Amino acid sequence: MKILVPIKRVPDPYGRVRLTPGGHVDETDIKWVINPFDEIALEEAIRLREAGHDIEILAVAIGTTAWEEQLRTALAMGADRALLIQQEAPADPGRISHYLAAIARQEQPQIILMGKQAIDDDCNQTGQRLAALLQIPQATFASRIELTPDGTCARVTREVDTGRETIEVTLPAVITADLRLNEPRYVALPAIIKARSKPLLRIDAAQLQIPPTAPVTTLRLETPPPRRAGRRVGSVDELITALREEARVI
Amino acid sequence: MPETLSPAGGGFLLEPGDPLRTFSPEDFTAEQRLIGQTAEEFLRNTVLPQVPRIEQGDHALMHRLMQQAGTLGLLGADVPEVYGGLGLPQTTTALIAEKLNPQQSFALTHEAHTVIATLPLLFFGTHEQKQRYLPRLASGEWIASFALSEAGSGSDALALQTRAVLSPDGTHYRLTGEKMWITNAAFAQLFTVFARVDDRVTAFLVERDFPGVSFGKEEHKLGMHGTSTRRVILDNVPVPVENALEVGKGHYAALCALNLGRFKLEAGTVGGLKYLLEVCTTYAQQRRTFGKPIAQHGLIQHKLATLCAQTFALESMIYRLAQDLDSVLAPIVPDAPDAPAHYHRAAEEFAIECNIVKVLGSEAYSHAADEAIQIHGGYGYTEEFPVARAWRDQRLLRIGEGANEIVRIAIVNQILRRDRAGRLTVRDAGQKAAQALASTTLPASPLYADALDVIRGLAEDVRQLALLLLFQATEQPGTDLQEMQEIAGAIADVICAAYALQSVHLRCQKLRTREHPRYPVALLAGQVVAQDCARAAHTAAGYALDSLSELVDTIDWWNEPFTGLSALLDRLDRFDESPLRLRRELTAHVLERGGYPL
Ligand SMILES: Cc1cc2nc3c(=O)[nH]c(=O)nc-3n(C[C@H](O)[C@H](O)[C@H](O)COP(=O)(O)OP(=O)(O)OC[C@H]3O[C@@H](n4cnc5c(N)ncnc54)[C@H](O)[C@@H]3O)c2cc1C
Repeated sequence: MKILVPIKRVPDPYGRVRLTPGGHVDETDIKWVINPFDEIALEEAIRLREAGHDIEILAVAIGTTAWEEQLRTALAMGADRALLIQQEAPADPGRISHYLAAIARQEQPQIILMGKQAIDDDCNQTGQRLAALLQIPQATFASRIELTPDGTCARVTREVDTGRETIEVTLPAVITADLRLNEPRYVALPAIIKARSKPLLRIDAAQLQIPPTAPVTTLRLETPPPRRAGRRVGSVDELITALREEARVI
Repeated sequence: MPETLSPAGGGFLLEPGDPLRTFSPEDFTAEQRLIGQTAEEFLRNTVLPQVPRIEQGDHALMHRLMQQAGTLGLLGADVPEVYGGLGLPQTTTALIAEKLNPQQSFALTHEAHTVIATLPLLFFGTHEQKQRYLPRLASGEWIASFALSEAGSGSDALALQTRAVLSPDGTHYRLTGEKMWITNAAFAQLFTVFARVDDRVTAFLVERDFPGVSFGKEEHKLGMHGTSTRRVILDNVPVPVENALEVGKGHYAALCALNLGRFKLEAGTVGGLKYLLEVCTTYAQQRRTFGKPIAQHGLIQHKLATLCAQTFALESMIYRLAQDLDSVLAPIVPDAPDAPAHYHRAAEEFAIECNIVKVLGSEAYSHAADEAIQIHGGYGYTEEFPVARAWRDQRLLRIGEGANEIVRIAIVNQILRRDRAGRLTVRDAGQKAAQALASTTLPASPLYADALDVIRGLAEDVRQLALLLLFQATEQPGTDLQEMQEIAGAIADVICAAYALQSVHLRCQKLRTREHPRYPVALLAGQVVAQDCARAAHTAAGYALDSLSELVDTIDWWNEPFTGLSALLDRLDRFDESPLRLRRELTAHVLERGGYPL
């Protein structure tokens, strides 16, 4: 079985993101990491393999050559090979899902296991769009994944507004990972060294000839206003009044 | 293979260096950063949550943490691949040490095992010995200890009394003696024990289970409460001859391991300093007095800037030295029969630099930990914040693996020994420096092209001053530096300042040439370092010169023919740039970044 895991490069969620005077993200001090949800997805693919399934894991990123750093990390974590779809401009979920669909048609993975969203733009669309493009089932917000012994279906527990829901999807399918699915492992040093010799292939995005999509235009970036200092309230009544009259949230 | 910048150890005294070939953290590869990240995450997620138990001296837990580190490969970085390790370069292993340091007990346990306990075997063992033990040490299946010190011999380690006597049938030695302050004693399976065979010091690989090995109780220590420190008692312990490392070479094995140990401990200090700066910055921004965060008070800003500048200086030295060490260690074939001779030469080559970072790093750590308590005020004096513990723990570093007094003297002795051997012509260079100073009148405030040029100029001035002192102090009849330790120590301080200044200049120059986005911050930190190091050199040189002229009363440093000297010294003590402004600007970056801004 083949699992495809898309990898996005994002700023370290624990770091501070600043804007340049020109209104762009200031990249000077940014530490780039794998999108945490993608890391969870990759970890899950590795665990499925460790549980005894015969699985090949393919990590795919769509970005500049700088993204190879995150693909190498994915290889060090346990992906078998990696693919960089090289393209310069940042892409939106519409385009990304088309690129991934093109790769999926070539590679024919049984599962596309991906983050439910990226922590930079928090779009939460790519998995759903991809499933629609490929016309295959989807199981989003997974907190538990089990494969049936014959490998034809996945039983997925989903985190939904009302609690948890368990569904069964026929493979191939798109599954998106939620926070509680697992805790990714440390990347062991020997694995990092081993990753040097794992295959990482680059292809030009233009080769994939995806159809035009409605473009997303970024008008302006701004940093959130600084948080105002908190205040201690004396009683529940005072709290309710403050919430109602000052914050106007209830 | 990385290229060495200096022609050889101590070479920084003879030339200003080549910026573009000097390694600094900006040159880390993605792979190195990833390795650093694993070490950092392991520390943050697995070690730090256990601090209360570590501090109670739960050695079983410490042992388990070491084994976990072993499964991640964090114990095998220095061990070559043929012996089950990863054979990573020193630039990478320094980064690992840096990332592990914020829990100092764990870091010391790690260093004692991976460096001082393992390297005598790696450097001086035979292929069979290395095959037998190194894989177990690299994986963490076994933890090791370095047993050199004794109750009566710490600094004077080679005066050790533990004896090894060959059995009549020649199959084994019998070891008898008592080792003191042995780190990792509670759980180590292998002890690298130094003992005397006749009169020659030899290192032995002693397994915990050999009959006759026993232990004292845990020492009650000022800090490092999480490390195990015990006496190791050897009562007629039979040690097979196969477990003796090159007989009679034990003192080399100890000193070579300690060179790398000093380097690695201070690589750790870089991480400790960064951690303290972060903790202090966070606190200083939260704690308010007189209507504003204490981070806005000038004297607190001064402290934060100093901490930041010292971190920058040490980091610049450590990674430059790491590259130099790699240049001599990397070409060695670890399982070749003549490997010991090569390791021996390589591990000695940069002893001077290892000693310099030992002195500067441990003293910067002491200063930083002390100021960290000060910034935290009364809270700093309690256990609520990690600074009190950091202060207790770091204090060891000025004592362990060579007390700083010994190390200062060693810096000067090693340089002069190399000079006598014709390998480092400092006295020639010193004589030329003296002549230059005698025949010219130096401008008291030279024209510098820009701020970076000031750093360059000061680095060169301090280097010249170090050469001059080395020459004058050994030229005059009647001065014996061995007897006049105070002068040797002061000269060592000038030499240390020269290395720090040059390393910082090389890094700043490189970042400027590469138009690195962090160059402006680096320049600010470099300027603060330059002023502080120049002043330190000025003070130390004054001490040495005034002491020397009283000993040799024919010399008057401040008059003919040494007129240039006072001008040189003046340049090290008067600056055009306001120290206050530089520090405030640097602090602004620290506050903005919430810690070390480079
Ligand atoms: C927590 C801890 C862990 C340790 N771990 C280990 C270990 O794992 N293995 C091991 O072998 N050892 C270990 N040691 C021992 C350590 O290396 C020694 O304590 C150190 O080398 C200093 O020796 P000493 O204590 O005998 O001091 P001394 O040699 O008695 O020195 C006392 C003072 O006199 C100064 N002094 C001594 N001689 C001179 C001189 N010639 N000129 C000028 N000043 C001088 C020293 O600098 C020092 O300030 C450890 C010590 C501690 C505290």
